[in-house]
Amino acid sequence: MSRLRIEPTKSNPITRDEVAAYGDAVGDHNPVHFDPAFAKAMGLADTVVHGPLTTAIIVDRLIAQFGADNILNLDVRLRGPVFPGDQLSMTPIDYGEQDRGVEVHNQRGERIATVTTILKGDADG
Amino acid sequence: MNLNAIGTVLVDTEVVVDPARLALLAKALGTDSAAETALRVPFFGPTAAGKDSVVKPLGMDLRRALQGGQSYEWHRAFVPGETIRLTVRVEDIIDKGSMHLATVLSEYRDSGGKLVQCQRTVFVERRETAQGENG
Repeated sequence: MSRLRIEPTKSNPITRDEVAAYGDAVGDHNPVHFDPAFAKAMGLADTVVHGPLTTAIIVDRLIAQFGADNILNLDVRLRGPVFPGDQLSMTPIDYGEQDRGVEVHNQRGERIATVTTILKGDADG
Repeated sequence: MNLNAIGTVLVDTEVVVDPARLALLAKALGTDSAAETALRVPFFGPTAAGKDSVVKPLGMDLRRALQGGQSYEWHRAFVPGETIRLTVRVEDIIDKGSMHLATVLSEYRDSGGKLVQCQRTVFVERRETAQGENG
């Protein structure tokens, strides 16, 4: 099986309503995601988007390209905070023979995540 | 962070793949592929059984903690309405000096005991700064 090719892609800007919907869906109402004063006391510029929502957005952009059944696993290292209003750009990276993924930057050019993934066909070389 | 929590099973319970939850997830993603994605990421293990089920026994101070990573190993999509057995275990806690790194493993199994999904979540907790240390 030939290797699937990852194309550069972007998310939509993340809205506060989407963050609220995610918090309700997974039951994560940590104030760092909803209370600007709490977030600022932690040294953050604003409330932060849930890490699993950031991950889900990355998963979604890959599913849009390949379909869910072609993605076997995914490992996301979160490198920096994502704030409401941020738009995520994903650039494909080839780490080696079988390790590849995407680097994720916000609209300010800051790296916010590195991702490795195994797609169907990768294990066949 | 409670270093004695390594190896502890924090959650062993049943969860339902609630269609209303899937709809909220799809709304949070807001894309054409969102419904398909929601079936792959409907749960976040550390909060799936309640917000305190992992944070409290881990002894994690949310004022100093953030999520550092998340991995997924998919065996199949979840099915709307199905009941899943969820276990959440503290796989490791590493003392890095200025911070603790805790890895929590969440396993989702169907009624036949077959693995549906594994998630690993890494939390980073900065060590508490002694009062006055930073002037």
